[in-house]
Amino acid sequence: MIRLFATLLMVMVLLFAGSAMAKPAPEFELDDLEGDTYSLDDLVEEHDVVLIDFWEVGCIPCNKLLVYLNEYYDELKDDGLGMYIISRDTSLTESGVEPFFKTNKYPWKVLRDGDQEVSKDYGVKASPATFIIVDGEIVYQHYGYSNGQEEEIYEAIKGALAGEDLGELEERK
Amino acid sequence: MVSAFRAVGAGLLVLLLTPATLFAADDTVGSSDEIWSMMYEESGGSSGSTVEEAIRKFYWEGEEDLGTYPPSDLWDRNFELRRRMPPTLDWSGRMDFRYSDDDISGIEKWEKELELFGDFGRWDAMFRFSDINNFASQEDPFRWEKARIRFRDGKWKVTAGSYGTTWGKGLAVNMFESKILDFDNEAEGIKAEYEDGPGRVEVIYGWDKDRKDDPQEFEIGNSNKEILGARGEYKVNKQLSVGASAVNVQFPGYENTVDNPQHLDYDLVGGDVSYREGDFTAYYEYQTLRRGVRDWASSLYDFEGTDGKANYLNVGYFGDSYSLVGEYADYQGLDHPFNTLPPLRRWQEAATADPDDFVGYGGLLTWNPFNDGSYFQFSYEQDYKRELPEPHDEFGVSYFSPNYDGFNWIIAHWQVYEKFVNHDQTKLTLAQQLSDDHSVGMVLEREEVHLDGQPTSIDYIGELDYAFRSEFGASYLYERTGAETSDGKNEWRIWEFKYHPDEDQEWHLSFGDRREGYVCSGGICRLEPAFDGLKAEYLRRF
Repeated sequence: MIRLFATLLMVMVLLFAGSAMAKPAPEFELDDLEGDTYSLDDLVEEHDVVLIDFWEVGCIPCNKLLVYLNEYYDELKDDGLGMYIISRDTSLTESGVEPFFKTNKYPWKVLRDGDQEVSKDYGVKASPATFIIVDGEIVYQHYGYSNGQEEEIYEAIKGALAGEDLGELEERK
Repeated sequence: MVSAFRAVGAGLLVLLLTPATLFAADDTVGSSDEIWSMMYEESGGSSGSTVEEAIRKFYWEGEEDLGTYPPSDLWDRNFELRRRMPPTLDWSGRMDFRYSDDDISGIEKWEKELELFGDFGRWDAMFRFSDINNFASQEDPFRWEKARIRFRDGKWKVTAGSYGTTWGKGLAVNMFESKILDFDNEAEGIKAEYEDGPGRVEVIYGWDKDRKDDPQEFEIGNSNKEILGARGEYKVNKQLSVGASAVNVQFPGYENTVDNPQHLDYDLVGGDVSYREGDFTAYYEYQTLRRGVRDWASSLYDFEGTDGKANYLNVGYFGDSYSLVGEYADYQGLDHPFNTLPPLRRWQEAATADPDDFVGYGGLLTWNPFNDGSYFQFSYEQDYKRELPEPHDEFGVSYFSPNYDGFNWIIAHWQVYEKFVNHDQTKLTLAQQLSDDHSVGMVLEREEVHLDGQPTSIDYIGELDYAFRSEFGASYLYERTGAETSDGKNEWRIWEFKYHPDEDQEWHLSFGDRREGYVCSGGICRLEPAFDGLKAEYLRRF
């Protein structure tokens, strides 16, 4: 019975689901490395555009992307861009998180999602995954990273800062 | 003792739940009409106003914003307004369809997964139906895999259904799911969290996911694994925080049969302390485990008594251009279904610590001498088992280059020594962006494996990648070993293609063969069986 119900539901969703629409960003409350708590509300209230990047220790594509995100952040932080890292590391690999960010002098707050509950809420199964949130809504999302994809993320950030909606951001690709 | 322990836990759970659900504050207004009339009156009752104009008049008193759109002040006020609006039902989800045909196992399978997320005010929910197993040679039944409903209200958060959690560094409780590895030790049940100022309390009660697909558990017919526990944390000041937990776990023993059911009953009690002062951090956790079934325990744990205990220490110093982290761990008889412990090992194929018997120490030095985005990492680790005091030593060094106009490279070298096998591995990763649209990458890996009493074998892995923006990617992976495997092969090749027409759709296709090997993610490793065939996937987010 469950099988039949789920199969019908999947067919319905596949036929009728829309894609080019902003989705509400799942709320979260996470501690940073210093133990201070941040909620999505805090981030959205503080910045016009919030970029959150799901990251893991030892994830080479994640680290490559961070180099570019650092450049973009330097350029656009004064225009209203806020950026936060969500570390998906469980306690098994957590000991490598702080050394990486402190030694590389990255300026962002690193929020810990050790039980990966927030990752699950955002549908993140692997790192990196990048979300741009405006006014509590996800206006852009990007899963994974390979060389060259940073340009698209940069365009999306600039578009979000200029007030473009998801459809317009998609057209920029 | 155990029943009292569980009764106290259950009572505490009720205490936590009652005020959360009965006395939840209601700070939203009744309806959008109410908000609109309030705004209409206070903005002077002008007719024909747009929503933006009304918001501007209500919150902003007609001040003009000459900056970029959207005006940030208006935005903030708009956000405030949204928070006061009556809740709406929002939902999203994901669907995954997969096909695989594996010649080695002879398994051809069609798989599907549907995940739905819903949000309504203080409530949110998640459901997942799935029969996906990431390994082509293993099949899962189609089942209601996850379901969760969550209630949040200020200091309270209550979750019913599937949940994960980590207490301290996970010595007592560490439950999470890794889809990539098909690893899941999350519980199903109820979790209540309360946070007020510097204090935080979490109470959990649950049981393991229904693994009727696990043949062993299904045949035994006695698979219940239960957990009940409570944890308290208190931030004494900015520098110091402490935590304590008590957990009861019950699960079938390894000799459990239908005729002779064997339920183990463990009580874990422990605490942790975390200290941070400037560039220095320290963390220490201690756990004890008392076994309820002494007959069983004494046959396996004949060292230092039958009960378990664990120590974990982590200290770190973060200097201007370097950081140093040291770890020490001593685990003894602490294995149960709902914990996973820090492994200390950093070389991927061995990144799992045995909770029943593990003693080790290690260090990680990260060094950024040039301040140009490049850095070095050096690590060393040694561990051994009390039952088998043959040390595992590993040394790793890696360098991550800066980005030179779209070109970057990484080199890593590992040396791993054990009594019967040594590994000597070097890996070079290169990436070059050719233009705004095109980029290429290459990975070269060489690994010498010295098996006791056998000639040294040398394995090579080469990978070529091409990507056209985010839309298309292709990769070719070639692997060769100097020693034939049990199936008589010494070469493997696999092609992979990805197509992302937009951020809500992904197509994946791969074909070829792949050697058996460890797949590791986040400190967990699983042995992936050899594969020869075809895999296809369509993923749709909505």
